[in-house]
Amino acid sequence: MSGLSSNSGIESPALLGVRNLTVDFCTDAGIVTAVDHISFDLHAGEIVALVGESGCGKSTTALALLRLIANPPGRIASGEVRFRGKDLLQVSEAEIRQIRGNHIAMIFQDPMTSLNPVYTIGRQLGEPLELHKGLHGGARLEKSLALLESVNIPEPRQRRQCYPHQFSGGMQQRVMIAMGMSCDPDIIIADEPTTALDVTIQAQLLELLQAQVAHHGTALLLITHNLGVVARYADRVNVMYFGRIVESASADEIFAAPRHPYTVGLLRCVPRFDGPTGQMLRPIEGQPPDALNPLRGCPFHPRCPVAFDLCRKEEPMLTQVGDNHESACWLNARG
Amino acid sequence: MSEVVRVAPIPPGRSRSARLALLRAVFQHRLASVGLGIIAVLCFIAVFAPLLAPYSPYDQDLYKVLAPPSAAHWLGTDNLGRDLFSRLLYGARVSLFVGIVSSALSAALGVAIGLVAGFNGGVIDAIIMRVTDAFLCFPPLIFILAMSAALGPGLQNVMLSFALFGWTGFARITRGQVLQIRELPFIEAARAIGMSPYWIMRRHILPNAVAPILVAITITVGTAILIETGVSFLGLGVQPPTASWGKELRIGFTYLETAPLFSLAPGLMISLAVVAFNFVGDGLRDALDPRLRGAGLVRR
Repeated sequence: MSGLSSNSGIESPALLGVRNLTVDFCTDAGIVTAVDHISFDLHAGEIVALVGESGCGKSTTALALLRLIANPPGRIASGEVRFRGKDLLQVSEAEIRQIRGNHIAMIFQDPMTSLNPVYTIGRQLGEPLELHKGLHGGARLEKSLALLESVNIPEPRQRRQCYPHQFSGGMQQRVMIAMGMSCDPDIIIADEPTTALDVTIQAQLLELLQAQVAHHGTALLLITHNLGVVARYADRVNVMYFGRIVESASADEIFAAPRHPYTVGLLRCVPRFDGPTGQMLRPIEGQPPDALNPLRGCPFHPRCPVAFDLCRKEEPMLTQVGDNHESACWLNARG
Repeated sequence: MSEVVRVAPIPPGRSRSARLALLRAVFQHRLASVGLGIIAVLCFIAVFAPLLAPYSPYDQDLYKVLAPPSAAHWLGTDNLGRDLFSRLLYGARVSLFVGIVSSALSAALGVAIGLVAGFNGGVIDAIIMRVTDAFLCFPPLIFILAMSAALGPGLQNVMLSFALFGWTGFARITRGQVLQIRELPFIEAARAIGMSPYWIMRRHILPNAVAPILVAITITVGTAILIETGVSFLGLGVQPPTASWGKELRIGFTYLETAPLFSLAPGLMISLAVVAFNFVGDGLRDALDPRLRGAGLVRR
């Protein structure tokens, strides 16, 4: 895939290399391809954002990386997820369990339901430590307290005896982050970590994650539909549409010089301080295509303001459009 | 870092241990505390029957057959002149023992089968569920009677027959719980930290499924007591001269017109025990819901 070319421009070898990942879901109405041949890389100490509207396959991608797609109905149809010289899609069930939570941690969207209501915070926080580091008793307690402290939970000694329902959403998500960081993973996948929380808490949590990346060289795959978050925290952005990556570039590039009409459309949907005053927000008209009856050509063409004949006939591939910048649009090919 | 860390106050008066909190919640539930009180008294009676009973339950006094209540015999005597009060005290042993053991047996069997069905799904699940459906076609008493008759009279066989029928309810409850809980996000989160399916089952699914199972156990104790009564009433189960409430009820039934207390008293004991277990089941159901726990929310 063309996805290889740009990312290999960065010196260090990728920590996680995703190639041609495809995920299908078998529904009663037919097979739906939720993620369609996507490729991207994740480097140590880097925050990579996966952006797109609801249902574009962001979360499915995240789950597929750890083979957490429920099967049936889901199925990883093809692709490769390279991590430490192994293809995570091929390793045994026991091996992937060793990697989950230990080397690659995941933080979910809704902290209120991601914690088991019958156990105390402390006990749940200790689970990955027990599972992967073999910590028990005092050592585990000590580490859990340190973790709670590191995510700014005051009075950790008392708090660890609380049940999840006694915590606010923000505190619960901080516990989830602490759990994610507990085994010092190489990669954290955060699936819309702040979507369920109010805006004032969002920055706190993202800063926690950012600090982890900065201090431990963890790679963060940040899945979000919030472009504000992307602008502030991400190093690199992959824009997803209809299960495909349609544009990939550094965060600065994406905001300064978006090359795909979909990205341009997305950016027009959010208010900007640096834009001309009095500019109206413009939503992208229409809906994404029906996944059961995929269109011919570019999946964005029915909604695209600049679509032309070729767009209706053939689907464009990701191609290099600048330094470390790729876009899947025929306009770029035309120059 | 962010200075404005939002802190929810630590709820006051939280007890250290979850079990203590649970007990407190049950006691806060009025009906449940009444039920627990009755059960405590019944257990006390069962354990200390030899000390509490004024007479031996087996001593016959054929000159005082079917005597009305008096200072010597508080509830009168039965058809063989045995002290009815003493026999009721001893009868508590049989009823409680049968009730608790048979519901525990059914629960152990049913929960294990339900977990297997719910967790594996597919063909195994389908087979197990069709078997439970088949069991549900039988009226319980008829099934247990037939089983007891086939196995022969005796208390163990009543309990065994009860468990062989009673597991189906527990299997269905457990399976339903497993199906519901295994789709919850925290199960996915547990998978994402690398937990194996077995541990997820044990540590995350079972503890969340336990509330309705515990409630079912307490209510099943009541049912088991009733079934034992029925089976004894019909002549299987406890054999004479052992005292059991069901047996007393049966014999007293013959003398309903001349000595109403003979059947009324054991009948009342049975009702009392069954109601008590049902009250506790109710209380447990509320108390086991962690969202309702504490704060005295469950005040009924």
